[in-house]
Amino acid sequence: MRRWAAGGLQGLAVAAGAGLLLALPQVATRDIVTAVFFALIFITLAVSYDILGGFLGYLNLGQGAFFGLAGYVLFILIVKVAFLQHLGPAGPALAVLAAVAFTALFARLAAYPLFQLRGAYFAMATFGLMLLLGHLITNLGGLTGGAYGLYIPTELYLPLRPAYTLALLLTGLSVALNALLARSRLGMGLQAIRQSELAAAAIGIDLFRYKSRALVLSSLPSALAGCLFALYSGYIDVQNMLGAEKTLFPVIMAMLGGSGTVFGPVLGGVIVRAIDVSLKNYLVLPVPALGIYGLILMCIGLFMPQGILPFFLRRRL
Amino acid sequence: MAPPAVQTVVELLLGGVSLGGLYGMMAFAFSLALATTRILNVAHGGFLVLGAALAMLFFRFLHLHFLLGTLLLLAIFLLVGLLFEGAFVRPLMGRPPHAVLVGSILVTFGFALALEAFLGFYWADLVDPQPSFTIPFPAPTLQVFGLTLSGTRLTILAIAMLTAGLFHLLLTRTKMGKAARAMSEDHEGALIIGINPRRLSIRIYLVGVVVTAFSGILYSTTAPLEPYSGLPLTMIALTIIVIGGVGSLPGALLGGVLVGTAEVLTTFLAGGAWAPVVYLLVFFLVLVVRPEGLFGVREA
Amino acid sequence: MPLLEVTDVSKRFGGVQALNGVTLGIEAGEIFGLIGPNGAGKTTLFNVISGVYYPDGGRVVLQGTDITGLKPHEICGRGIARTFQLVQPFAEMTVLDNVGAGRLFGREGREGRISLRRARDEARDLLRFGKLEGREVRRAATLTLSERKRLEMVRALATGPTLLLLDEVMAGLNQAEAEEMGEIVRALPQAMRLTVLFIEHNVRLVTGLCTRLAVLDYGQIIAQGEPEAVVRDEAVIRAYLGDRWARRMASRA
Repeated sequence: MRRWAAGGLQGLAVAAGAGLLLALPQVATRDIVTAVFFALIFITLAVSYDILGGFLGYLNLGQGAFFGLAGYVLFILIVKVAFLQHLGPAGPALAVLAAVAFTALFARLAAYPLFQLRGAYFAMATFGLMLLLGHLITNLGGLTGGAYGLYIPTELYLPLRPAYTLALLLTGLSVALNALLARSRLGMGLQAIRQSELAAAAIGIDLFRYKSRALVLSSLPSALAGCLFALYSGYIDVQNMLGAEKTLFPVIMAMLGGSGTVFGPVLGGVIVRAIDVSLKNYLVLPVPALGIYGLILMCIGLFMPQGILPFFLRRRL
Repeated sequence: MAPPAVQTVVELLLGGVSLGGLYGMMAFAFSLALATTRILNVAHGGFLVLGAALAMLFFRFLHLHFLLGTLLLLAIFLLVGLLFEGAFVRPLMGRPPHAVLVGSILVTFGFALALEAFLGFYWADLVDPQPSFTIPFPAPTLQVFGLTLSGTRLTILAIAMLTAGLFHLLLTRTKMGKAARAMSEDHEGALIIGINPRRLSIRIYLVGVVVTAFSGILYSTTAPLEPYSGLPLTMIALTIIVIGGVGSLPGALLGGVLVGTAEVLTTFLAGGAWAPVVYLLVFFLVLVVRPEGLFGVREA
Repeated sequence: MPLLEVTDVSKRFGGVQALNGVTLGIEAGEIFGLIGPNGAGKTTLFNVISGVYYPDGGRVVLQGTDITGLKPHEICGRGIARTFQLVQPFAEMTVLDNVGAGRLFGREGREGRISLRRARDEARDLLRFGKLEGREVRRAATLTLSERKRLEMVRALATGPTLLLLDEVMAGLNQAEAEEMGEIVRALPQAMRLTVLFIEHNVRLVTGLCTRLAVLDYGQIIAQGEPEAVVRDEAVIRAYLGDRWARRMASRA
């Protein structure tokens, strides 16, 4: 009974939140809608990060690699493949599909070296993957624009309103994906692997197959978020697509809110975006933002390894 | 005079081997801490940067006397090791394995980022708007069989070999070294026979930070270090470990020379921008082709 | 033809020869006991059979099929399930989901042949067999050691094996708990139609339980056969049950 009531309450809260967010562009200023749009992009990254970080218990410090790679593939296709520009809105849509598919393939191939490793080695290797992509993109200037970045024609820019609606949809789908995963065979397998790889293998779970599936699945929403972000910005470079914060934010958000819960990364995302916006716009502190995030990460690691949501959930029990 | 081609090849090899020796030193410090405490210190590369930055501050801006400056640096590095171990490594050690993993990544990655950001920010603000740490070290060149050899690189190579020798003695002749080896081979067994993991961990970090920070100073005599060089340097240390094996001194040296030579050759043939691509490709390639490492058993 | 044939299996770790030409044949329906001092290679043999380690030499054949070098999940798919000396329950899952996971991913549940709901339903019956009824919604981490050992056995059973490897399921249990476990193990071949190969330290429990017994020492089988005969074997008494056992008992006391 209590459980049912809690579930209903949660559903109600989610519906109310979604309604409020859908109505936002009608009532809020452009600045606020833009801020929420960016927040949604990062929350999607955090939620998809948590498929590996929360379900499987593998820390991915390179979640931003999927974001950045998809954005770059998308722009390279739009800029270099001439006929895509003559298809109207279908052109970018096709390019997005191709970019996401390419990113998923990349994730599947990356699984081979990455899942030779566990624990801290795995985390560091994912960071290396992000570094490698960054260097390759910078060096292959002919294709990627190198240090100058890439632009798309202004008529292909995605305006704020549709970008916002798509981002909201994407975040919703990403959360739904995790909620479904929590109840699925694959999700149960991933949780089993997290709790004991030895026992998981002994009851018939193909470790590599399950881990790769998780990696590919987690790459999809991130890739879409990268495409959306790139289309809205109209310009990409290594800093805005593969910069340190694309790697840092998903981890901080998921960890702060509560890794391994469906809404933890969302909660963490809201908190971190609020901190970020106030740091950059309102609080003028004589300290660099990246340094503050580093300190937040350290504090989570030292004092609150479970995150906020599980902290309160456990207290209620 | 030797033919120019021979001179170039010798120069490249000396550059590669001396850089490799330097990499081997810092990678072994990283490896030893990892093998004994089971905590992967993402901030390891930051110690090299810190060493170079402080040395530059003391010698180039404050013009401290060489001996005084060196002693002061040594004292600071020891203090950094003590504080880092006490504040970040020790609190994690009692936790269950998965919590140690998550905690150590968050704490040391966070520290690395904060160090990077604060160092870059305040250095640019207070010292130099373009933070880049280099230390001039004009050692005389050496003429052998008509070849010109860089004195700086020869000195680095000599110091690296000396450090490797000292590491070997430390591991084989001292109580601490034996404890460290026991700990890295059989963690639980070492605890049972009464090795104190905390005391060992402090000592490992004291030695590790000093060696790493001084290798950072040596590094900055041939190429500049920047505030954000730290994380890539940790990645290089990890690559060397993947090649040579956790806790293995010969593995670290051979891996270091391999990565150092690859870096120097790539820079010569394709330009410096490709050097990081090469070591990262080596890292992933070794994982796919020989996950157990090139020379020995890797533990993951 | 024996159900499981282990032929001349060797495994070396660094300088230690953990297994040295081990040969065993286990018949369908029997309870086969494996004893030997710490470090004799018992668990290593389990790890070779269940695919955790690849042997340096020798073969493992199940029902006439060579399964040497298959991965652990493939071995499970062929019908060998196991427990671990240091219990490995899925600590944060409920007891029901632990066993449900065995149903879902094991030999009978592969490729989604069993739904999540059905897996949980069938898990309930198995929990009753393992005397764990009433514990369904508890997190596995909250169980007692004895309950966790039974849970792990039930989870292994849930995969639908023909051969069950039990690694010291009675170690660390008190007298009553060990006897309860003994009864469950004794009932296994009849109730679940399977064969049991088990490692145990407690010689008295072993001899009362198994149909045949083998003794492993320094990676080699030094005796095997009827339990009573093996226990009376002069070599075994001298080499193992005599000196060593006596000294171990003395050092423990």
